[in-house]
Amino acid sequence: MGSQVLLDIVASMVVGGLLLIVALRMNDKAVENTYQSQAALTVQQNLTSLVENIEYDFRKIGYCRNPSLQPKTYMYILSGTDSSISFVTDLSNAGKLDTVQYFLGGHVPGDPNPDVKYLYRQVNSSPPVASNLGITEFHLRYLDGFGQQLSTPFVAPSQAQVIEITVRVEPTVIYNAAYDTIFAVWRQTRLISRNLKAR
Amino acid sequence: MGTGQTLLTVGAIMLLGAVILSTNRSLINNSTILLNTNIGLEEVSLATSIMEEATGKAFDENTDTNTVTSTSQLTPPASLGQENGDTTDLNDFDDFNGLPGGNGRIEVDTLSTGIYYVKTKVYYVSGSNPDVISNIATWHKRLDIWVWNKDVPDTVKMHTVFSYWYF
Repeated sequence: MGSQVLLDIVASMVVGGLLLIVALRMNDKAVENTYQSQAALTVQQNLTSLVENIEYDFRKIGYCRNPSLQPKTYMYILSGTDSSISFVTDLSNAGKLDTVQYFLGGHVPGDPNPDVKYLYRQVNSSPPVASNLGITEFHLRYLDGFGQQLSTPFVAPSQAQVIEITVRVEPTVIYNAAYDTIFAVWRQTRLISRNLKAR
Repeated sequence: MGTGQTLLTVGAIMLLGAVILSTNRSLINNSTILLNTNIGLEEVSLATSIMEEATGKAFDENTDTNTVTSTSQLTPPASLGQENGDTTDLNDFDDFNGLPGGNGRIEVDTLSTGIYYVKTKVYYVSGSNPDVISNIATWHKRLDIWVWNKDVPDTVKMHTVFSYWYF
């Protein structure tokens, strides 16, 4: 075997190796992108599902099908902090008042994302139902009719006419553990129940 | 290495390069679409927030503390907007006709993905045809909201109709 042939073989192995590295990196990137895309999609779907449920409940604060049972102005929101709220409403339109409570729980044990927490929803005296949708932030602000922020916990819940909700959802599992850099989704909405207006 | 082998090698590298470029473009497109939907979510939330805030106000300046029984008592269509140019006191629904801000829009930079612009318009509509502007005062006002992000080509447009009831 001549030296020229040997040189050709070595050169082709080098070029082939480079091409192989490129192909492997491309494959790795494609896999990462697939996981990230799926995680981002899941996060967005989780967020919309969560907000739909929250809006559905919050919109009915203070409502009761039976007018005689409708809460007086001062008691439709029973208590509120920056991460929890308790209010009364006729949840199933059955003409009786229910007490609904939302509160943020602790970290989800065993979840690779250390920031993910449970969000609990409790109706009356039923056990709280936890949802693990990748929630890392559930922040509430309460504003009065003039747009002034009320300090929490409440002294006078009747003053709250606007509730501002900030929800942040992250993937519970993600490639390379890049939780809060790429896929974090943040949403802010301002909800006003018609019944929160002064009557 | 002969000429034929060289050509084959060059051809193979070009083919591989084309595949890599195509894959890369596909990955970037995928990321762009997801980013756009993420921004779309925030645009919807922003529009909803404004809608909620507006519908929490009085129907009209004249129904803020009083009741009216005739549409002639309502603000004339040409006068919908902030009263006396007071942009700090949004106390009724039609005050959202042209939110205060430069170029007829407001800038929102408190969300997580860039700067958003909001434009709003309020006008009277008839109950039977809420898609057409009414030139006379009616019991129904419609709020149109446009929200867009300067880095995204699409604009979110939402609207709601707010009505006044008297007994």
